[in-house]
Amino acid sequence: MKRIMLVCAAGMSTSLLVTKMQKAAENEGLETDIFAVSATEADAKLEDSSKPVDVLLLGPQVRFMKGQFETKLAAKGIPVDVIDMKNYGTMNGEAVLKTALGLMN
Amino acid sequence: MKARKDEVLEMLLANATEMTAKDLADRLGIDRTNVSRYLNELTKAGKVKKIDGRPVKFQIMPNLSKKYISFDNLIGREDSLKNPIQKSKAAILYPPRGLHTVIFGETGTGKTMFAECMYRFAVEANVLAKDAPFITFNCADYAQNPQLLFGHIFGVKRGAFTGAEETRAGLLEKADGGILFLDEIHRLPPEGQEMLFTFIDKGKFRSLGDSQEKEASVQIIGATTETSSMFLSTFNRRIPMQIELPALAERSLDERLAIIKEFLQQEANRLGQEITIDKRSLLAFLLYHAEGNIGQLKRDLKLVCAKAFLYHQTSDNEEKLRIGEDELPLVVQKGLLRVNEVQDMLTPFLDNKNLYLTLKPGTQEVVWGQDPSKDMEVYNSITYKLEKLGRENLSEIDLGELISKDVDKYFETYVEELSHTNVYQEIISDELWQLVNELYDFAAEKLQREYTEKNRFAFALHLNSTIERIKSEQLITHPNLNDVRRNHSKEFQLAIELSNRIEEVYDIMMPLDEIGFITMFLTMDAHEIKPTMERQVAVLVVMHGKSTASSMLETVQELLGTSKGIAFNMPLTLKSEAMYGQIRSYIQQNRAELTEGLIILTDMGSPNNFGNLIFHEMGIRTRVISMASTILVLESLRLAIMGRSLEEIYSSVTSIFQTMLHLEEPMPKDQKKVIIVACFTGEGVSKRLNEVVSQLVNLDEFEIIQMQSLERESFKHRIDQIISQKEIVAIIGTMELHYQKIPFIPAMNLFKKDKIIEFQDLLGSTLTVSEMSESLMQYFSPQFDVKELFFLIDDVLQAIRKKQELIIENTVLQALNLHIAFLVERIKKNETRPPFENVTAYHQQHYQLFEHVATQLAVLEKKYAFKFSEDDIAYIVKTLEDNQIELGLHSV
Repeated sequence: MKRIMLVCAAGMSTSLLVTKMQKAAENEGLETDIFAVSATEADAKLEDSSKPVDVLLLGPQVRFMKGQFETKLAAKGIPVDVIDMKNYGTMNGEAVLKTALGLMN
Repeated sequence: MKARKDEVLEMLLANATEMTAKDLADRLGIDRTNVSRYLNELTKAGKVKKIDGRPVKFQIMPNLSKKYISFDNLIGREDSLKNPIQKSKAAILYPPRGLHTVIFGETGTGKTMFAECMYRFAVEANVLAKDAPFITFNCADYAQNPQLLFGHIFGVKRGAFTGAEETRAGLLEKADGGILFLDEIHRLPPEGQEMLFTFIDKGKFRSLGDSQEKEASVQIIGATTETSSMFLSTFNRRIPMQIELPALAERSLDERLAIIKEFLQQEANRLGQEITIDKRSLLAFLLYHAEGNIGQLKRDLKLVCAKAFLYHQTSDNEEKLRIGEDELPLVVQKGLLRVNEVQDMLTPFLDNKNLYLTLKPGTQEVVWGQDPSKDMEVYNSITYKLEKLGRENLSEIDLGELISKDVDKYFETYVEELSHTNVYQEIISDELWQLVNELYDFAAEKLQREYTEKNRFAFALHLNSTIERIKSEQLITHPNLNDVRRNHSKEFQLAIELSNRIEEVYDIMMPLDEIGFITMFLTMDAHEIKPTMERQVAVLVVMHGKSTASSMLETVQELLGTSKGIAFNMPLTLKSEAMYGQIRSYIQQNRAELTEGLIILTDMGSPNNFGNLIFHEMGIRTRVISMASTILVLESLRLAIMGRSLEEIYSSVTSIFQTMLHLEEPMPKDQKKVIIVACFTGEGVSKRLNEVVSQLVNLDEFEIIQMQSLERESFKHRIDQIISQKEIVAIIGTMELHYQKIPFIPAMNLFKKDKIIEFQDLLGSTLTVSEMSESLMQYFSPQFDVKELFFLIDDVLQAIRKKQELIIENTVLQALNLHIAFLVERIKKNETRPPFENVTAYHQQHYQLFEHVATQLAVLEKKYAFKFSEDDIAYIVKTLEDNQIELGLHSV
């Protein structure tokens, strides 16, 4: 089971993306846990060892946090990346899922 | 009896218009002869002015009818200044003791005057006591000597430093219970800023050399022309209220007319003379480009008034001062050139056939305590000089000089501010900039050449990295030092002299190679900067056979009606070396015309290799098209005549070729777009530019390539190479580099907020607003015109970005657009939205941006009939704030 966490500012648009990613994962027959949190909740979720996160994706509007997360998560080996605006802006769940899976390998 | 005299005076004061003795007698019910006597006494005392004529009229001396300036009589109070006034009233009234404020505005927009208005308002509103101090200070005054400056503001304790012989109170103490106005606050050195911020945060400060903290209740009002991001980010965070004054060009013509009228009225009052200005002159004043804003407008008006006054004094039959077109300074006259440009706006002014503005003296005027143009000195000097020189020697009076003396103070700060535009301060230290100017002034005189601001800036940037290089012991080689030395011996000699000076100032050793680079800067002149549009790519046709080339070219020339192009016939007996020799000598003889490069069309064989030979041997970019036919020659020559670039011609012709032969598709271009950053060396400045651009663009989308531009030909060749694989979207450089019609951006533009925004716009984005809205249409309620919604939001965001000069990476704005669109959808559906933590505190901390965003968002609220909550707005503001790119660049 792969756990993918999306971080954005207020969760207004990311929830839709999450739904689309879940659907894409289902179609592929993948077992995943995909969810979105706001920037302030992110740290707490990362600390939760009962649900370890495998990959972290940032919404373009919080791209400035990439450096922060990278340093924080380097030791844990959790990859971080910013969601491509083209995929984000078209809510392309399939493509974002692919990126996430690609980062984990 | 005395009381009666005062009554007369009061009556005159109350009616600023002219009155006869009889009018006064009737109104006051006093005997007319007595009134006349009082009036004569008052005239003698200088309180009343007598206007000769029949009947004689009297009027109060203009300077007695002063009324202090306040918000209530500012021009534009209901329009361009409405928002600034509202904000500043809020700043004054904010409990308990007002908000510290910074006023932004270009030079001459009236920042000092505005601060004075704020003070008057505070007194009127009883926030400040009637006798509360209003202390003004210009931070530029002691900017070279920080100790003196801090001492002046915060006070000095005896013995704090050598020379501090007594304890002195600083301005903060003097301003206790009132307002301290700090002009040019950006000139305050960082330590001083810190001290000031401590005071702002805690209300406490320490004098120099004093261990004890003092308290003072002072509202600080700062003013600055500075808009650089570095300054803004420090000040915006610490000073809660920001007020921006509009530039003159942003104000309406009505307001400008009112300003002109008011000023002429003041002059009429001061001189006690009627002033008239004709329509064309008035139009010129309304329209000309006054870089120094209202300050300059006033100065120029003063100049023409002085001229008119001079003529008036020297001619016997002129009753009034007349301002006519001929008297206007050239820069003002140029305003008339804009009449057609802005015809629509002028209609209300033009319709009035006899627009002949007359301003009579005596009307009440408003004065502004610090107005540097208020005194009469210029007129007095004219009168004085006239008496001394006599009327015959009129020409000896240098009005310009008189004027400049009169408004010296004004002008000095104006020039000073202009030379300190934000660019320089951010990246180049004052010391270095001063040195560069010194060196260039010296060079300009020695070489009798003029160097533009851009030249100087480019050199300063270069020198900045030279010094860094030398200090870190990185050596750089000049590729053709000997050529430079030989071809520009004069400049080279001078460069050595300049280097001595640089060595002295920075205590470094200049290697010869660096001196070679400096020489290059000195040889740069204005001509090089102009793109050479007239020059064309040369077309050479080289074919085997006695006359194949010439007959093919003739056919094409006839078809195109041109004599351009040159044919080389290559009989089978001619060896290819000999052919190359002919072409080479042709190129050498015509070198000057071949700067745009060569297209060689060949049929087959060895001439196909000529291209590389020519480039390496003579440094001329060459493209070879082999297996050429008449149609390819035709197309090449046609495009060359149209002034197309070498690369354009080459790719266009080869594509014809490919479709003819059904050749394979060209290699797909690399996905990333390329931005070239270039400087002479390819290391110092371009490295810095690279750093800046990397922050501005999305690196997943763009690739930045650092290049040297010293060798123009190889630079162009390199561009050609890149362009065949990738798309180049911009060249940024210290020198103008126009090539292949790629947009060029001068390096200095990356240090000005408004230009950075333009730059980002130029780059565009991979995802357009309409693409985004189309692909998301399905997720919105059907009653929404989704495309319209997205475009509206985009407008709002762009307006915020431009108005606030926010430097934000493009994808962030797109993501924000998406966010707002979904937010609107949720609000309309009455769905819950996440709350924002500590929203009230956040609102206050980012008051200015918050208010602006809220105002802009109102467009959406109105259109879709709903309200954003404070939390909604806070999320948007936070996204904007967090993603702002700070371009803090520090230099030697």
